[in-house]
Amino acid sequence: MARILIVDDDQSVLALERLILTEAGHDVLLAHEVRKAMDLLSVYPVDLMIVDIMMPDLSGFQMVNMVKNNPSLHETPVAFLTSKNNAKDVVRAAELGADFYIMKPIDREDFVKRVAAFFAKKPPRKYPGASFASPPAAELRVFQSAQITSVSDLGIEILTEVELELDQVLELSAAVLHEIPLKQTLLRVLSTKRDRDGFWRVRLTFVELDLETIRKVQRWIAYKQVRPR
Amino acid sequence: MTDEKKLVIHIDPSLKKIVPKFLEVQRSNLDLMKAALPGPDYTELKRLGHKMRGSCGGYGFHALGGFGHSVELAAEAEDLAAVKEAIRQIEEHFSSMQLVYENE
Repeated sequence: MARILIVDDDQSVLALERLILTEAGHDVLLAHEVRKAMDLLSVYPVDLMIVDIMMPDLSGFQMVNMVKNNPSLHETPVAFLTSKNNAKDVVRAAELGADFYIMKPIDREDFVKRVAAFFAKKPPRKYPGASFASPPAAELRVFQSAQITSVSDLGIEILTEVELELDQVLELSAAVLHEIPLKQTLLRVLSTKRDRDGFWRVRLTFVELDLETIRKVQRWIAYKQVRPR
Repeated sequence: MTDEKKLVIHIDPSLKKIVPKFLEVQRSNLDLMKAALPGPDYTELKRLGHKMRGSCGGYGFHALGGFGHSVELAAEAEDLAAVKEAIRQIEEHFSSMQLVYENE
């Protein structure tokens, strides 16, 4: 499993790429603009970033240029995903150190194959806490509508009877830390999967990048209810 | 419109949850295209057409992506009549499409 950052200003493309890559077993971070993507990269190293070229404000080329000139990020592998296919762009992508180039519209099978082929050559790293491994049973608490089943530095996984929508934002209404009540923490539904027993296994990712809060949530987290916003 | 005139689009059932948002984005793009007609703002029209072309095919909406491409090319050529015709086709497409998820 790799951690992949997708940067595209088109929400429908982000949703499609995320669906394809999460189904392929990867953890996916999303950014709809370059500024947000750079914020994410400053917190989470990734195994690959897939970047659209044509975006408002800053282009994908400008973003990759910033990444490649940043000593702590310059080794981050890059793929461009774009419907631009002129030779100048291909050359520019290569000059910027892109590892590969995928054309829109996305061909699902080809997309998965190309990403898999890249990781076959350059296996993903293991990030501390990146996997959604189950915590000790003592750390699990069962509430009326949701049970935390695992925690990673990308978010949490819950088991719930409630069917949630992709991208739905939830409020962590009662997270209990050892000493301090948490300020409002928002989580976004990343993926949902129906278990054989009828429960939904839902992965949620933190909406805001407040590292201190994230760490607190990871130390101890509890739901009293799943409250859609 | 009668059922005979409906344009059936076959969609991969695994996309069912994200298709409504996709259509919402494309309808919003159509509104933005229409808003860019007075002027006309060819740069914006080209950008919107380009986006539509890039995102539609992955969902199986190939014809819609083709109309987006037509907007992009016509805007690049600053051919207002062709831009308007492509936008009309997009509107018609939206009003006649009927989605069928392949396993239903």
